[in-house]
Amino acid sequence: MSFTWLEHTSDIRLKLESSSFEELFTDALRAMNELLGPEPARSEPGKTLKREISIEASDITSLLVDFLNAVLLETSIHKTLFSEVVSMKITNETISAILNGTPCRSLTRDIKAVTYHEADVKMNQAGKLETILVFDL
Amino acid sequence: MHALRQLSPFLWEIPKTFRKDMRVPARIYASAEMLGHILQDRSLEQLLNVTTLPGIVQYALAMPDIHEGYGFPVGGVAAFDTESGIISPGGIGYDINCGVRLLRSTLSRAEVQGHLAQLGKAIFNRVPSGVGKGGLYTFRDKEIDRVLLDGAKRIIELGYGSHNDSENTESGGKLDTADPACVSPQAKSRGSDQLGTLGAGNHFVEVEFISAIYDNTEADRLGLQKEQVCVMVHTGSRGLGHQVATDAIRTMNRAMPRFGFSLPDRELACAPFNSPEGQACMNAMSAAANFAWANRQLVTWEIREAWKKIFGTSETLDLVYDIAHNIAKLEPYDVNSARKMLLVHRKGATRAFPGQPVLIPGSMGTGSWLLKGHPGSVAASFGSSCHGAGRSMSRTMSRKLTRIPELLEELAAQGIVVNAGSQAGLSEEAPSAYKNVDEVVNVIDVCGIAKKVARLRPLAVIKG
Repeated sequence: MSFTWLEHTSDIRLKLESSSFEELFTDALRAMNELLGPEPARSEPGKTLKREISIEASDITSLLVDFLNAVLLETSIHKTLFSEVVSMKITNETISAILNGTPCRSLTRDIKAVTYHEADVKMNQAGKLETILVFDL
Repeated sequence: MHALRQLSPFLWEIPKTFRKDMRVPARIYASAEMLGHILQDRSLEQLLNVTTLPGIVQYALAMPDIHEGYGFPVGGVAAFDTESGIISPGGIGYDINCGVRLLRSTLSRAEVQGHLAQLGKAIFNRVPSGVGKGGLYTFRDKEIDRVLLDGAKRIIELGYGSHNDSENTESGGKLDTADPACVSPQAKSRGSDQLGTLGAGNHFVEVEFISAIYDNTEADRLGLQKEQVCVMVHTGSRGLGHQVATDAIRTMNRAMPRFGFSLPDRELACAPFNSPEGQACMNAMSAAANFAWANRQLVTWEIREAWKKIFGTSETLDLVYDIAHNIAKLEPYDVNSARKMLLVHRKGATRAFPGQPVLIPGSMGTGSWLLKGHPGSVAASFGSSCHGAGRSMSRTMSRKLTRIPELLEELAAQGIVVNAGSQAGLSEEAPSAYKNVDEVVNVIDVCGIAKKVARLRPLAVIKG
């Protein structure tokens, strides 16, 4: 797992560096959840919610952003952090994932959206998949 | 930046010859000192990217509170020909119709001073605030569609306001271009319990007093005088608007190959205004804008209830004005001697039509400004002004540098009572993270966009 939070004047930037598509998407999800509400004390133990997310996009970068926004939507509606990836199948243009989440009484931070700004998934010189993501807070 | 040409003390231009893909020049309203700060982030590069959009008219404009956003910079204004131009959700922002309203009381600072602690608590308890916090009411199905169609007027119809409120709201608190059918079920779900809520981040309710008057005639017209206590509200369309914007940007990114657009930033995703995607975006954005006005109207009612609890049921808070600062509006302008309807995108910028009140909130603890739109605003900036102080420091840096106890002590030393749901939120919104609002407003005043009417100073801050 490898992600780093970076500076941004009004919002927050994330740098991801991962070995595979699955790891990239899982790391991004983990980072977004860290931003949303990492305090387990606020969760309601024993309850879980399962959601299936299926997305199509024109390229892997759009797919990543759209996937995170789809999870963010579910989190916002159900007040639930989806931190467990039960299954995930990814191609360049599609993702099908089943996630388990824990309802929370409250979250720490509001994310309006995951933006496409600076997002560009590509292979870096170390042979890792790398991208920046900017979250609108 | 060597391409910058100074046209007047506070107006700069980058000509369209600077970059091959620019269709119009970029203009920046700022002092030389502000320009130094502006050049430290990517806001100017983003402004130049805006100049490349199809159908853009005259210039892409930067207000003095400009800072880096995504796609459009925050503090950016751009107008597009409705026949040949585009609509871009990135030119509006994710918090569609985030805006502010100013309410005036009948009380003076002296009359309110001894009640500030109770008043702050009463407003904090009455107006739901905080991350993801739902309100007292849930609107679903036909009821939410009524709100999306009629905005603040629907909330007033339900008994939470008066005709005076919609009369003193930009566009009467309702855009007629709204179509609830263009808002996704997901967006409606995301916003169903959020009417009448403040949210978190830089949203607030602030009790203020008028510390100085600069235009006695206009102040009299608005029923304002020195030492009078007012209340400012800053919030927007909450989760519904965020989802409408997300949906629109996704739809447009997928549609763009069909339009043959090649853009330097995906967040500039756009569609021809007259295309099905363009019209759907306009209709959905307008519905979300109506939701925001409905939200601010319901929050106003909640504040009025808290006010009556402290000061008695005969005390009122009347609406001075309500403006949007993330929106796109259809407005007529003279372009090359012809009258044309343009779609003016204001992202982190407010309308400042001649004679119209213009509200400029500062950062926490610094207070706000009331200005009046000047006749020169139409030619200068498509009738647009700045929207606030603008951030100068990242949230991360602000959290690192701000010690909460010291911040609260500083505010207390100024007599400011704070009720906040989040300490992290407070540190991110510290005054030091923002530009100097007085300097920003000064540029707007000197440039003849809007003229100073009154300065307001805070007494109590309520935040999520």
